[in-house]
Amino acid sequence: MKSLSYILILLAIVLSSCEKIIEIDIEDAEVNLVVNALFNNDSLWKVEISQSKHVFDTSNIKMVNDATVTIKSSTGNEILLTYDKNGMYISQTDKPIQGETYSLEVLHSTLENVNAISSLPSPVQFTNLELGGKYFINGEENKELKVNFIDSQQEDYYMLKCSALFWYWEFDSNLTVADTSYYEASLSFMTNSTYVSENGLDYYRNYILFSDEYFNGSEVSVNLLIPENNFIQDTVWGYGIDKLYVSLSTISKDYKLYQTSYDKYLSIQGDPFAQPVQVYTNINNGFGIFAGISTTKDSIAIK
Amino acid sequence: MHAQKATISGYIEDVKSGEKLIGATIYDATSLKGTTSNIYGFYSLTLDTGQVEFTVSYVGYQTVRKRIDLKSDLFQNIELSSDIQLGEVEISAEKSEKIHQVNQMSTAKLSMKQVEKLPAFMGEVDLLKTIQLLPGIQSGGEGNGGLYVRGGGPDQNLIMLDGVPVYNASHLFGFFSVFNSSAINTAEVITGGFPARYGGRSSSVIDIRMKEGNMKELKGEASIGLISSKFMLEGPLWKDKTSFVISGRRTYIDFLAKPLIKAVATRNGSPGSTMGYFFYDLNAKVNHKFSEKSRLYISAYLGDDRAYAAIKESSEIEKTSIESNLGWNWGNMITAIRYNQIINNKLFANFTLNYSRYRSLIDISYLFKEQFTDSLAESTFNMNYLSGIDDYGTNLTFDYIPNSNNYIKFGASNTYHVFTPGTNSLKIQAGKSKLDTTIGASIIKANEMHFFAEDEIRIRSRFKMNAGLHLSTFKVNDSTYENLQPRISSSYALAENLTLKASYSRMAQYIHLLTNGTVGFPTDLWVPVTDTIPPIQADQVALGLAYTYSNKYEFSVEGYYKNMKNLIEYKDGASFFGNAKTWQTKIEEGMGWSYGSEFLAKKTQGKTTGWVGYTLSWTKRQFQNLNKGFVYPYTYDRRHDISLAVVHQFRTHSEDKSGIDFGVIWVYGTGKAISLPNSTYKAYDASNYYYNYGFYSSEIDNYAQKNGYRQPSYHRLDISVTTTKNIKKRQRIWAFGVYNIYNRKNPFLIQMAYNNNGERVLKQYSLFPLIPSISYTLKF
Repeated sequence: MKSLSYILILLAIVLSSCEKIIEIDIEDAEVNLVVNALFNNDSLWKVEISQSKHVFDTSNIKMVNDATVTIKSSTGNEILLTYDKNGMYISQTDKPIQGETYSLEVLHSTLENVNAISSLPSPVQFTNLELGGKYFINGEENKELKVNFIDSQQEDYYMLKCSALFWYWEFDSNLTVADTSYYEASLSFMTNSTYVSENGLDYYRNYILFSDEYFNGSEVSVNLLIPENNFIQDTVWGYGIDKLYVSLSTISKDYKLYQTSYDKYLSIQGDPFAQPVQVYTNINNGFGIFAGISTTKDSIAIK
Repeated sequence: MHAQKATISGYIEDVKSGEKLIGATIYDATSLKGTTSNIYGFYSLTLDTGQVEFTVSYVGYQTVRKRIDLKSDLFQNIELSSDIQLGEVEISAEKSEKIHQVNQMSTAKLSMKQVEKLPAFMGEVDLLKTIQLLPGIQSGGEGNGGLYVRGGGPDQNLIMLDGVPVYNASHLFGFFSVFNSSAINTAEVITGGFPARYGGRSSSVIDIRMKEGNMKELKGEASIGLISSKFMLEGPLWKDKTSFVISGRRTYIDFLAKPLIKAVATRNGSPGSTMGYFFYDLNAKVNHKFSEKSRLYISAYLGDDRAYAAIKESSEIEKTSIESNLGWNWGNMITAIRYNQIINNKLFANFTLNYSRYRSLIDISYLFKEQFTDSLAESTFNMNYLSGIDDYGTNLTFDYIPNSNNYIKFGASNTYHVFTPGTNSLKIQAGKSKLDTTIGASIIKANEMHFFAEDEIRIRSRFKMNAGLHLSTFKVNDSTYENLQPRISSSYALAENLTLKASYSRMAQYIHLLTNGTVGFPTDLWVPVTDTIPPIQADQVALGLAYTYSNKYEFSVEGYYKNMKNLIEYKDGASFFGNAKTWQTKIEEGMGWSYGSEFLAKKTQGKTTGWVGYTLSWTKRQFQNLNKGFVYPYTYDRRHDISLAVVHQFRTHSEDKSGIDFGVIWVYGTGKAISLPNSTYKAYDASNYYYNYGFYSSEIDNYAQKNGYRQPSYHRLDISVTTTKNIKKRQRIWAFGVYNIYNRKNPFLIQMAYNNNGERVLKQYSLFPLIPSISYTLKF
């Protein structure tokens, strides 16, 4: 139906040909610190600091290299991050710990100081990964992938992704198979599990974000529908799929709100009739996101 | 000792056509008591027996005076004549009801004669556009046909044609209203202090009555305009017993543009391609008099907008051809059967059966052919998108006039709604594989009932009151909503020509229109309240003063405060072309309020007539999940709204009433509230992530406040010159007009864009520059 919108815009423009550049006084917006940091227990702390600019300013985003960035854990442990490069502040040895809550403080000599708080949620384990039967959407064949896991008693938020390891033959100059190579690529999928997608079947996407609102504390099975053409095994030209990877991240509510609103923000770019989106932030006095994310990744072999 | 009472009742009619006169004044100079005729022209007045000095008057008609020695109940039809010389106008209208004499506040009656003399957009006389010129009623701005009344949305107006709600009141994305002016008799607009007889919408009532048809002789008119032609024919089927009126209108932009489109298509190498748009409407009504006391009316309206495009492309080299078709079809159908019965001289009954439908159908098809040496391969794709609403209604109302101090109305109605909130059906065929499926929301059925009783009471000669109760219920799925709505309005004469008015009303509304608000798309969707979305409830208080000076000038000032609960708005990021099945997930629920004051100065008689209105108002919204829960201005929050509508009669031949009228409209409104970003910042660098959308923006524009900015203000000046010439029984009218004479570029859409230097700018798109128009009308 999106094409309709373009036709209407076109119509509006054809009708009008009355286009002019106007001035609406957009007051000089304050320049704020922007924090972008997702942390997990496998990596050192990495916090990126930049600054916002006026909406009409088309110059490159300025990174901030003179801020004081500190992380405090709920146990009182204080980590001072050191400036690396490109606005990135890192820890030397400290890594985030699962279940711990951290507060971030960024001090700056001229810009307003900002702070944020987030926890690193505990990961969940898959209880089963299983390929199912065929599922048709608008005549297109899909393969079902059942992803089972046990939700905790707390309020949880998840991001679920799927990728595949593909193989292909490398030929030598005599056109005989010299080697088999592999590469990983993300897969788009839909889901018909309504408890993880408020809209049910809508369009293929590379990840889904959901909460445990409808299954809190119980084992849940999410049904992913992956287009069948990903599963072709061609033994003539030599390409195909080797295994599927499923990654399930437990994320904070803040990150879910940030990513959901940012996705919406992206989805309406170019549609002048859509409602504008205020992208969520959990940075007090600033913009961006500071959130913990714990990921479990597993694979399933394709015969 | 009590004096004996007797009742005079009957109909008030136009002597020439037999057309009923709505709202004519009947007044007894002896007892100083009076009444007005109802929407079917019926009146009833109970007086002391003895000498009665009976005066019947109606704007634009000669006043009838009768001396009657009233001894017992009398059934008396009264015929008024509009055949008056100009000099007599002032005298004739002298006794018409003035603004300070009417108890009802926040109301305006429009005469089609005046509407027709005002400048019209593209020459199309438009009732709703004229209504937008009244204080308290705003237009949505450039290209928006919606009415925004005292802070309410465009779906909160009860627009009725002969008492039947009309769902889609505009053609072509809101540029024209669906009402063909030549079929309309009267229109009344109420924006506050609602009488109990109205219900179902929360912000206004627009009661439009169609002509009934001339009972005496065949009359008609035909008109040719810049973009459309229309006709109207009325007359007796059986003299003084049965009459009919039929009118129609069709635009012909599509015919006119055909050669141009063909030329462009041929030049672009796809000669079979075409596109077009038109709308039409048809009104018909038959009116039969069984006896003096019983009448039957059958009326129908049918109107549609149709847009179509076909693209044909073929390649000789690849031996392929592609044919795609796009069609939209949307419109209303309304039918009503009404039966009037005068049960006795104090009791009048009306029974109505009606059917109202709004439907929007979008049809997209695609045919691909490829010629191989030995075969022809074909694949087809066909998609339909249907949405709409069907209403089946019954309605029984009574007017009971026990004495000259009370006018009681009571009644009940039932409407069965069938909502089709968007279904897609899809057919695909490629070679041997086939698909035929229907997706989308299932039909929702709902039942709406209304009961009301009201009494217009003359407490003392200076003090009048209309008190009533309206009860409505709405049953949908497993939920039943009930709403008891008290309505009270009163007026007190402070001085001879000065009246103080006050009112309180509660209104409930059970249906919502999901609309993008920028333009009226055919995809706008009427949806009912649900288990989770409760009905809108609006409480309004208003206080006003009405003053009449020298019988020619009317002044009114009103202040109002309105509180609205359970309003809906689209969520951030909602787009309007998604799957209708999910509409409930796209909306947020919240509240709003509006307050302001409205000033109106009107000249009703003389060579120059018209009005100037000014509204100062504030409208706010608050939604938990929008604008971080903070209060924000409503999109149509309009601080200042000015409208001027004046018609001047230049000269008139006293013999044949030929003349020239000059009309002017000027409107000004504070710019619409819009959301604009004020700063930009870096998004989380998710370079390790895969994006759900085909593109990725690493910078986010921050919208600090919803509706935090204003579009440039809206204003324009329109003028018209109408020359009327009467030749024997015929009248010919030439109307010339210029819309937006100083070519103001009013904002339709404002967008962030880049200019040629790569700088970010705000681009404004407007729709209507200066547009001249001409039309010719022949009345016979």
